[in-house]
Amino acid sequence: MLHLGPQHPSTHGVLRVDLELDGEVIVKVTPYIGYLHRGIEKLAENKTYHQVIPLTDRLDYTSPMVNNLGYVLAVEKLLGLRVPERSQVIRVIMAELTRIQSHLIWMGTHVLDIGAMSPIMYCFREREQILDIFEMVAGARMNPSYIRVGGVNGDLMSEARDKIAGFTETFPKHIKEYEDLLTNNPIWINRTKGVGKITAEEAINLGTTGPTLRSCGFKWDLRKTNPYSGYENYKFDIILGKNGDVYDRYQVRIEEMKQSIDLIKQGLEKLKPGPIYPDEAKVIPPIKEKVMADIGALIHHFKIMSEGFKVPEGEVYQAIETPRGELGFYIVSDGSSKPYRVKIKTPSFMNLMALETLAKGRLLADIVAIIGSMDICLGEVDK
Amino acid sequence: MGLESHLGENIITTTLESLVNWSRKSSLWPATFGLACCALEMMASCMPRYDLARFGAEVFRASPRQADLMIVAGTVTNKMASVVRRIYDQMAEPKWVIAMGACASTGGIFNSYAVLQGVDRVIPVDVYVPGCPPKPEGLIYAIMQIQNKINHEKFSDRT
Amino acid sequence: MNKKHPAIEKLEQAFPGVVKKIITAFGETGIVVDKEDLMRVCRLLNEDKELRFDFLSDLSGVDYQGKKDKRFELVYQLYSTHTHQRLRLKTEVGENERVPTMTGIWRSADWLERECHEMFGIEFEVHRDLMRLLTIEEFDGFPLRKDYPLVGKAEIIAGNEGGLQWRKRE
Repeated sequence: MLHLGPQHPSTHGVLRVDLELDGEVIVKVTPYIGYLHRGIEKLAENKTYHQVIPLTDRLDYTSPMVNNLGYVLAVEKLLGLRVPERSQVIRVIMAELTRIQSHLIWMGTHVLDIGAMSPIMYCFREREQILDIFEMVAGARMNPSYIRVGGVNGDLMSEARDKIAGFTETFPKHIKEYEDLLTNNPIWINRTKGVGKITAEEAINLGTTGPTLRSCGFKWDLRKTNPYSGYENYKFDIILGKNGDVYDRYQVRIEEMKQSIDLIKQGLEKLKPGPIYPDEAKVIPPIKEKVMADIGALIHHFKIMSEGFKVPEGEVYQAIETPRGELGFYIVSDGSSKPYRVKIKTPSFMNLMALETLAKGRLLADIVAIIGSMDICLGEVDK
Repeated sequence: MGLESHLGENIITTTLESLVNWSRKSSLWPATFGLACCALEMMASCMPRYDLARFGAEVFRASPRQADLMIVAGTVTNKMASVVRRIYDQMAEPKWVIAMGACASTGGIFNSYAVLQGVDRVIPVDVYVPGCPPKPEGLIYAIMQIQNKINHEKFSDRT
Repeated sequence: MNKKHPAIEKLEQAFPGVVKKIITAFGETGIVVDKEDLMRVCRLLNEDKELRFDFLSDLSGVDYQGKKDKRFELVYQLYSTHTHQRLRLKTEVGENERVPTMTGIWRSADWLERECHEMFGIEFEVHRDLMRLLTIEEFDGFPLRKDYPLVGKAEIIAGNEGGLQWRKRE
C-alpha cells in the first residue's frame, strides 16, 4: 500500500492516490478527490446569471476563457440570442489561444514530472506572451471573465490584433524547438511508448473525451461534429493517434497546437468591423457613455446589474470542446433571474475514472507519467 | 583614528543578529503548496520572466522538513484544512507563511459549506497578498515584505 | 419541426407506452420515462444498431421540492458518437426511492452516480461502492438539496497541533 498524498510535487493539484503494489507492479489504484470541492454548483443557484460567469472561470483554471464560453452559450440558447459575427470570431480566437496556453502548461509540467527540467522554462516563456495578449484584451492574465452573455467584454483593438498576428508568426518555430528536444529523444521514448494504453471502446464506455480519446484513434471532436460559435466555417483537421499510450497523447497535443495557430490565422482574416453585442435591450446593459449621460440608460443598467435579467423557463445542455475534453453545462431555469440548477460536467472528472484501467499492471515509476498524460486539472474534478 | 584604523580594510564587524537575519532572509526556501489557480501564478513567478530565484528562493522543496517558507496558494477547503495544519507542524523553526490570493486570505468568492474562510483560522500568517490571482509581481513584493520582517527580528522574539 | 426523434419511434415500437412525455425545446429533445422502465430503455438505446447511444455525457439530479409530486428528477444526457445526436432521458424519483444503477451499461455512470448520491441522497441499487467522493468524512446532510443552507451547518474556527476546532452555525 502506498499513499501518494495530497501534497506532492508531481500531482497536478491536490489529488490523493492510493496504490496497492505487488513488488513494483501496480495492482489497484484508487484516486481520492474532493480536496478542492468549493461548492460551485450550490453557489451558482444563489447568484444571477451574470454573476455566475466569474465562478465558471475558476473551474478549469488553466483554460479560463473556454469555460466561460460553454456557460454563456447555454444561457444564450435559453434566451434565443443571436451573437453578432464579430463576437463569434473573437470568441474562436480566444478559445484557440487558450488551447495553446493550456497545452503549454500541460507539456511543461508533464515533462518536468518525467525528469526533464528545461522544457518547462521554454513553455512558460511562450505562455507569458499569450498572457500579455489576454491582459491587453481583457484586463487580467488569468480568470479574465471576458466572454459575456451576448458577446465579449470589450472590442479587439488594432494593437491587440497586431500582437496576435505577431504571435502566430513566431510561435511555430518554438513548437519545432520542443519537438527537437523530445520527439526522437530515446529517454523520452523509453519512458512513454507503450505506457498507459487503453482501447477506444473502453475509453468511450468510461466517458473519456478530448486528446486522451483521440490518441486511441477514435475520431471525435465536438468542434467538428456539433459545431458552435461559427466553427463550421473554419478548416482544420482532427488529430488522431494510433496506440493510445502516453507518447501518442504527447503527439496529439503538439499537433493540436499547430492546428490552433492555423485557426487563429483564419480567425484574424475573418475579423470584419461590426457590433459586438446584439440589439437586445432587456439583456445587454447599455454602453458606458450612455449610462453616464442618460437617466433612462442608467435605470436600465441598474436593473440589469442588481436584479439580473429574466430567462424563460426551460432546460438546456450545451457542450464544448475544451483542451481537456467535453465540458457540458446543464442549466434548468424556472423563469426568474437566478438559475434553478446548474450542473457542470467536466472532462477531467470523467477522464480520472479511467486511471485504474490505464495504470493496472504497470510499474510504480509509470504512475506519474500516466497521471500527467491524462491532463487533469483538479479545479475541474472537484468543482 | 580610533578603533577603525587598527582593523584595516579586511575585517567586517557586525552583530550576530544582523548576520543571522541576513542569511535567513537571503535563502528562503519555499515549500510547494499550490492548491488552485494561484499555484499557476506562483509557478509563473519562478519562471524566466519573473525569476524568484534571484531573491534566494532557489529551490521549491517538496518536503516540508527542508523548507522555511510556506506559500499557501489557492482555496483551502474543509477537507484540506487538517492537511495544511499537519504540514505546517512538520516544518522546522524558524518558519513563515504567506497567504497568497483572496481565497487563502479570507475565502475569496467562495462563501459556501465546503470552504475555509481564510487559512489564518488554522495557521498563523505573516503576509497576505490580495488578488484573484495576484500577479507574480504581487508575490515578489510579498516575499520582499517577509525579508523586511526577518530583517527586524530579534532573537528574543523566537525563544 | 414535426419530425420525431428516431429514438422515440424505436422506443414506442419496442415498448409501447413507455415514453410518458416528450419535451422539444431550444433544439433539444427530452423524454420522461418511469423508474421501472429505466433499465430496459437504456439497454435498448445503447444496443440498438442504428441509435447507438454509447456515450453517457452526464447524469444529474434536480431537487424540485414542493413543485412536483416526486421530489427529485434524474436527468441522463446521452450522446451517440456515430450519429452525433443527443437525447435527454428523465425519470422522477421520490424521496426514499431507489434507482437501478447504469454502471452495467455505461461504466462512466460510476462516479456520476456516486456524486449524485452524495449531493442529493438518491440511492442507486447494486452500485459497487457508493462511498463519498467530494465532501469530508464527517459531513452531515446532502448539500445540493434545496433545504440545505449555502454556508453549511458548521465551520472551522481554529486549529492547533491537536486538531481542528469546529463551531455550529445557526
